[in-house]
Amino acid sequence: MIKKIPPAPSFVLSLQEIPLHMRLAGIAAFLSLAVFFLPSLTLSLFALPRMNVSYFQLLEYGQMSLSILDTRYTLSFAGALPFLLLSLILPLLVLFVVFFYQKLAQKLPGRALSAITAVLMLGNLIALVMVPARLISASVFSAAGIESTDLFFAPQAVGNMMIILLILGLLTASFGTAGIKVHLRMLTFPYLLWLLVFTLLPLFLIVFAAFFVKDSGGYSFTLDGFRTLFVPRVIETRFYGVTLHLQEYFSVFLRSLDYSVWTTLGCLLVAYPLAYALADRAKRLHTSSSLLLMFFILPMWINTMLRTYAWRAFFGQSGVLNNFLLSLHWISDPILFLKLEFLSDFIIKLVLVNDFLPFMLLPIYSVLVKLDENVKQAAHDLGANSRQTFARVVFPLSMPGVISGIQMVFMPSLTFYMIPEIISEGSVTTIGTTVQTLILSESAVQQQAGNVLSLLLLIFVLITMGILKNSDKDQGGGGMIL
Amino acid sequence: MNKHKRIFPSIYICLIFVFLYLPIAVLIVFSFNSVPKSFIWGGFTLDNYAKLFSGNDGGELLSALVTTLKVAAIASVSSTFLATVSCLGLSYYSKKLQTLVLNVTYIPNIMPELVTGISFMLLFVFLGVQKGQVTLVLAHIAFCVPFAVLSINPKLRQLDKNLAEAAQDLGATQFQAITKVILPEIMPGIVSSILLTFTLSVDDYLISNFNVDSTVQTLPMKIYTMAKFGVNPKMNALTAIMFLVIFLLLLAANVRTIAEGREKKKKIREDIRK
Repeated sequence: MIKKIPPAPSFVLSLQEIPLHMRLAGIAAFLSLAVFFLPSLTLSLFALPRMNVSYFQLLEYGQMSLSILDTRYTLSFAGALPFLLLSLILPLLVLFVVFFYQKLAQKLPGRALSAITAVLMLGNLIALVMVPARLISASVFSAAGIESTDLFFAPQAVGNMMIILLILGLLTASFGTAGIKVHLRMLTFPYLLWLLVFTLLPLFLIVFAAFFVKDSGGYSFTLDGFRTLFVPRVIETRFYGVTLHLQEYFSVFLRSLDYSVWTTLGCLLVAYPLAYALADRAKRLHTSSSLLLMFFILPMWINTMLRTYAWRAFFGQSGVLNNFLLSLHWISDPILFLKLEFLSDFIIKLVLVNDFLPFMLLPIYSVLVKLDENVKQAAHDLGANSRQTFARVVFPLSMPGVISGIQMVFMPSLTFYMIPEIISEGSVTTIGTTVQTLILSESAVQQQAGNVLSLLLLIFVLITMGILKNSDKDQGGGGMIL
Repeated sequence: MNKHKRIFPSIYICLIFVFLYLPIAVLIVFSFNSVPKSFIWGGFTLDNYAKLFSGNDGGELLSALVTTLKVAAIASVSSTFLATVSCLGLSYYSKKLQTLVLNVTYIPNIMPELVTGISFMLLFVFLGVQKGQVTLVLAHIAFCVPFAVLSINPKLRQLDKNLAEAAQDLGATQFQAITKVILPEIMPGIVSSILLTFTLSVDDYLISNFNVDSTVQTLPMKIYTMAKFGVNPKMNALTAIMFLVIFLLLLAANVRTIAEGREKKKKIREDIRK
């Protein structure tokens, strides 16, 4: 019997070819060379239009006359010349090493070649960075009477990209030197760094800012933010016609919670039957992505703020609804929908539901549409009536969609302060407005209180989501089908 | 009996349809209103549209729109690119590490938007980056990345791991295996990621608000500040145009799907006849 030999690990390149790390270094060098001839430097000067030049142009002209505040100066490029030449020659050398790798490899070990490439690329990188730094001599600044920070040559977007690419090429060349094989898994490395900077660091900073305040001598620990927030000041609030005496910020939080809970419930109650009907239709008509569904998502692409203003216009004192009712002579005076306590509260929730409905609809729909009809049939065959089939089979199976829908509605609606603010014309304070005013205020204590409040909000949301997630073992079951 | 069963869902669908489109209808109808700055009907006019392209604040609206579209384009493409590249690499990690990385990725997803905005603001203060266009774009990319990963990663996970290896056994290089086999397979995920992140970025107010200075304004911010001084009919005109454009794009994208659906239906009918 011939045993099949498993294929060799696919990521290791055969030795006959140029190793991957050398090829990557070659690509980086080539791009750096290409960009050498493209306008990749920006001359930025206060009160002067920017000008774009390429390294090649600098080399070509050797000098450049420049008028600063009505005086003409000649910028000498003598200081930058060696670096300019280096940034032209070094990538060429790298390309040479890469192209003749096989021949060179017969005389030198591969690692030495990688090391040479790495050194060349490092030189290239230094040269590229040094050119802008050496372009303008200090005498120009003093003669023109401008700050050195006002005038600078900087690599512009293309040039910056080139530098990043060069760093990557340098890394791969060093990997080759160290004998590390370039592996596809390394594609994730930049992302890990990104996560560190844009996810973990901000989280840490929120916690940090809740406890520490910047003062003259650095950062000092203080609980002033907590003290400001938990001030024993009681205010009067009305919930559903009942007057309550609650701590200031707690009442604000309670109101936001009230809004977001009702929004979530409302969305669920409206979206579930809708998703069910749409999924039913899609299955009956044998279409996988229904156009009809797209029309329910379309409002999402119209600015939320504008839609909210339209609602205000609809319910306003001289709004569409009042005019309509007046013209039918059903009412004699316009109803102040937005001023009546019950009604305005209800309208805010209505608008919130209107705004968040697609976010609930999508995940539920995508689960329901994948639900096998035979499951229902089986339940019927086993003697369940329609109601039992729904309650015991269909609904539990659609739970992942429901949960991800709740996640996508409850949490954003908690801080989405624009709708209550616009509809109530600023008379309702929600947690979002409070955080915003605190954070953007001038006083450091208030700012810290804002940070504390956002930290508490974060903890609250994480706990809620944790509870929800525990009942949703099937991760990502809902998902997005946008 | 069967008919009744179908009528009720249809009525329900229509009702929700009206509910969702009511504000948009109000906006569009009043974009033709001749009475400025109010929602009282005064007669038909196209002035608002003309003013949108000539007037002063009309120009501001348009430039805000351009800024928004630019930021959204950069944010959606770069976040999708980052997500695609990192998901490709991620599939070579052990299950445990994958879960860890994904869980960290999804943290911003379950954070309230406002808190995310504040955390980015704190980050930029910490890093010493001046608020402006750069921070706006960075913040948008950062809040789009989790959504991009969310759309692309499941597609990669569904993919048969042996597919790339098979391609390489058949003589493809590693690079070819990725571009010719894996990328086309996950293309739907990439497209939906671009669409989703673009939508999120265009409509974002909370995160932008904390991460720009006064020189840059996105459309939602512009609308919010403008509408504080009363409703501007030019905003309605802009909405109407945007709605029309999106509507047509959607139709165009779905024409094929509709045609396919019709063919399917025909086939089924023919099958039944047979």
